[in-house]
Amino acid sequence: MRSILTVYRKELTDHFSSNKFLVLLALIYIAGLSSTYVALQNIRESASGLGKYVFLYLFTTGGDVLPSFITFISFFIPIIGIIFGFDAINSEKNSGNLSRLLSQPIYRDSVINGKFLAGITTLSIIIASIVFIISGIGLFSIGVPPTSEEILRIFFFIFICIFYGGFWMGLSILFSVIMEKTAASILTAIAIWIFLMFFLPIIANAIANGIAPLENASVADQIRNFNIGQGILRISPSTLFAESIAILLVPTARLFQPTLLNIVQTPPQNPLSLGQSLIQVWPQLVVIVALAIICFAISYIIFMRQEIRST
Amino acid sequence: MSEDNNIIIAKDLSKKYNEHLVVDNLNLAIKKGEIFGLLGPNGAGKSTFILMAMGLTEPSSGSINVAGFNSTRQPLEVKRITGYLPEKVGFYEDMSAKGNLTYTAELNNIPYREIPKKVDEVLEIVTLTKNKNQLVKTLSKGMKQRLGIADVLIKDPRLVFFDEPTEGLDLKVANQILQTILDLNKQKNITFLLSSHQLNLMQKVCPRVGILSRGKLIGEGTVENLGRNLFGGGKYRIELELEKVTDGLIEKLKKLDKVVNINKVDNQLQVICDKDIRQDISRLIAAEDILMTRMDMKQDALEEIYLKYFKEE
Amino acid sequence: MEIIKRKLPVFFIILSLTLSIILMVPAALFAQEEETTEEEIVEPEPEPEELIFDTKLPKIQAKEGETFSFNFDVAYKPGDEPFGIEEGKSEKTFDITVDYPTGWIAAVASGSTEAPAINLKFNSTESLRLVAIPLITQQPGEYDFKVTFNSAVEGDTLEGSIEFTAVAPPTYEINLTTKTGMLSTELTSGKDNHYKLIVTNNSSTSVENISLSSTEPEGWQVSFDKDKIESMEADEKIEIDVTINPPEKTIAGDYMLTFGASSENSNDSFDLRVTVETPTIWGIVGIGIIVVVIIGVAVIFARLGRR
Ligand SMILES: Nc1ncnc2c1ncn2[C@@H]1O[C@H](COP(=O)(O)OP(=O)(O)OP(=O)(O)O)[C@@H](O)[C@H]1O
Ligand SMILES: [Mg+2]
Repeated sequence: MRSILTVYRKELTDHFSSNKFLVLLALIYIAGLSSTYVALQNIRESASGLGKYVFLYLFTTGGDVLPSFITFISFFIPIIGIIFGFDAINSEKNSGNLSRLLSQPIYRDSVINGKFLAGITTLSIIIASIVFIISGIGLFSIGVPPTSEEILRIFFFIFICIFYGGFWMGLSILFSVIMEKTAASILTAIAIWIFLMFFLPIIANAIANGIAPLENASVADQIRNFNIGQGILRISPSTLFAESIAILLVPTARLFQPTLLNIVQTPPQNPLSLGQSLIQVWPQLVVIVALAIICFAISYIIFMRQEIRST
Repeated sequence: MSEDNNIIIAKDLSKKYNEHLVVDNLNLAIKKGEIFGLLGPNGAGKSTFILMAMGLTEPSSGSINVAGFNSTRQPLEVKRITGYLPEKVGFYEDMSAKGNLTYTAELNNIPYREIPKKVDEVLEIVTLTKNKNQLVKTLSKGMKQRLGIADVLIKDPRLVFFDEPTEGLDLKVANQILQTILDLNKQKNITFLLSSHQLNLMQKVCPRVGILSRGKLIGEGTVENLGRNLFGGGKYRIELELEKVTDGLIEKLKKLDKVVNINKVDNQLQVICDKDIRQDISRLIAAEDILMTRMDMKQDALEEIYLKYFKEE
Repeated sequence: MEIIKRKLPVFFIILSLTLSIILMVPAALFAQEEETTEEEIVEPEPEPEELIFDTKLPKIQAKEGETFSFNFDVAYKPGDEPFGIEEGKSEKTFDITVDYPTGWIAAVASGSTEAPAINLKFNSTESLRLVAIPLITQQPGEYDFKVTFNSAVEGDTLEGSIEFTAVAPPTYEINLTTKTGMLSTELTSGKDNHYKLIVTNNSSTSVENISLSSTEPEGWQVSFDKDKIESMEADEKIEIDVTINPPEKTIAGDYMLTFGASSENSNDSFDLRVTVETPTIWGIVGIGIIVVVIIGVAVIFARLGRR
């Protein structure tokens, strides 16, 4: 147990001493603060027209030029996950540290566990700190404390972010276990990220339009088109994550299940309770957590079975 | 050989990588307190043997015990008392020498309070005290190898596996490393297993060597004995190429002082002996009035071994 | 051009005034001469020449700033011996002068044209108009105007006049504004914020029963130290202290409040842009959170970073 802690502490130190950490932290802080600035601007301008959950608007409101905090964070979390995982194992192998490390009286899994935990901790610190800073700024400038429900929602949001980051970290650690070159593992991870982020929506759209064309489509066909597209998009953890945090941070939101009414107009909806919001995205949450665990478990098993090479 | 005296005992040890036999039915015992040289050409299976001894990889069959612990089943116990310096030892380049050693000390469960003292102590041994706070990436190759020794000493090992200790070092540095090994062996009674293909260097520090070729242990013992075996029991081998070989000549040669054995192949003779008796032989052959076309003497057993086993590939 | 146009009415008035003075001096001289001749010749009374004025509305009232228009008829009866009329002619020319108080201009107009002089046919009635324009806001009260017709014939003393009264009613204007004159302010939620308003009575007379009102966002409390003013003299200013209490949980930001003052005859209102500031306690808590997080990250850096 102490060996996990030792590896964990050392890895954490490595992360906190690295330039990539500083760059990421700075990027996320700048993005977070600027989106908060825009959100505050909007909140102050329409102060009288806002509902009960003003505090959450801090995270969900964007402007014309800058997107909202949750948009930024959905973009950055995979990057953090990949950056802090892609060279976990292969860099140790290449530098010749792994065999020296494993010749110490520790179990082999201490290395991968300690590294994963350190990565997750770093990710958590980055996300939690910016969320708390934004909350502090919000409190300072809105002057209305969040309700206990809002606080709970924010904590859930942080947890989901961590698990989502855990998925990407697990994935990139997996590549670091099965690929010799760090360049290969980072490129593979980023390729997958780009595919899920940018190409899958195009593909989903194309397939949906192929099966149920939208030209002169009846309402039923439009619904079918949407369902097919969304169904394909849900392959991607990014979609699941986006859906979860949207539902969680916008209490009035519902998962978009198109009905006749929805296509014609979206009626204003009452806010859901936290429990109801969670129930809506429960499958998404379960899949995100499961994917994070599965990715890490696979890397763990492969790493444990790998032959150690002396050279 | 009593069990108590041996720190490493390998029994019928084999290792296959994808049906490729790398260590083949190896039986080897290494005594406490000795410096054993595991010699063999590249790809002989030396490193694989060490990995199995450290419990870092599992044998395909057979067993290996270190200090009474089964390396495969009790790797932690083995690692606690065994130091391993891999062939390509690596350190965290962005950490200082001290930082790297501290990390190793922590992984070895050394109490936090004792770590700084321990680190200073091992750095002193390898004379790196001055470079304590230097980043590893600024150290020379020889310094890194010394840092490797320090790293291994942190855990106060009873046994050290040193894979290719002199590989890539110039002669002076290599000798320094070997001297350190000798000192440690004497002062701390640490058993060393050095793997190398640099026989000439190993010869100086290893009273006993084992020769590994294609996964098989083909010889084991002192270098002198190995040479003797190779030369049919003698220290030297004098090769003669003659116009003709007569039985009388062989008889006379056999009677020469220090001659152990004589082999005949066509009109070539190998005289195995314990002393350089080339003059006696020349005189004798001249007396017999036989024309000698060539006479060579092989005295360096290691070179011979090298030629025989190491140049194969 | 511009200046001339604007000055034109004034120019006309001055011109007609001087003209009438120039004409009236010899007329007055002649009038004296005639008196002496009349006394000498005593003859049976012939029917005299005369001007007959008639109006239905000699006194009218108009709203502030409006033009007063008095309609009147004038008729000329030549009598038996009209003075200085050539044989065969059946009309006489009269100069028209208007006396009016300062602060006004007034002139007689026929139809839409100003008439400094007029030819009156024998025994026929002419409809004319006296137009009086207040040049400044007039104090309420009565203003007298006198239109005088003088015969333009040399030596003729025939004259007639008609008087009118313009009644300027009292004006009512109350103004409501902030004491500072700025239409925006900053307030803190959850506490009473005091703010000063000024009611000014710009009426020409005193005003009674002014009530103050406000429109505010839901949940806000706005109260006045006096929400009714019994009476205000003309030009009086009264300071009103208004207490604005945005509810505790008001989001910091901009809100619109409308304040109004109204009396029977006049009312005024304005929009106040209120920027609600964070109550200090939450400001401190917010800053506290930020500081704690930043210190936390810094401590982690110091403890773990190798720099
Ligand atoms: N993990 C592995 N998977 C497959 N083959 C391996 C693995 N490790 C070693 N080998 C093969 O086993 C053989 C013996 O390797 P080993 O490293 O034990 O040789 P060595 O005696 O240490 O040689 P060298 O002097 O080059 O270090 C080599 O042919 C090598 O290619
Ligand atoms: Mg090797």
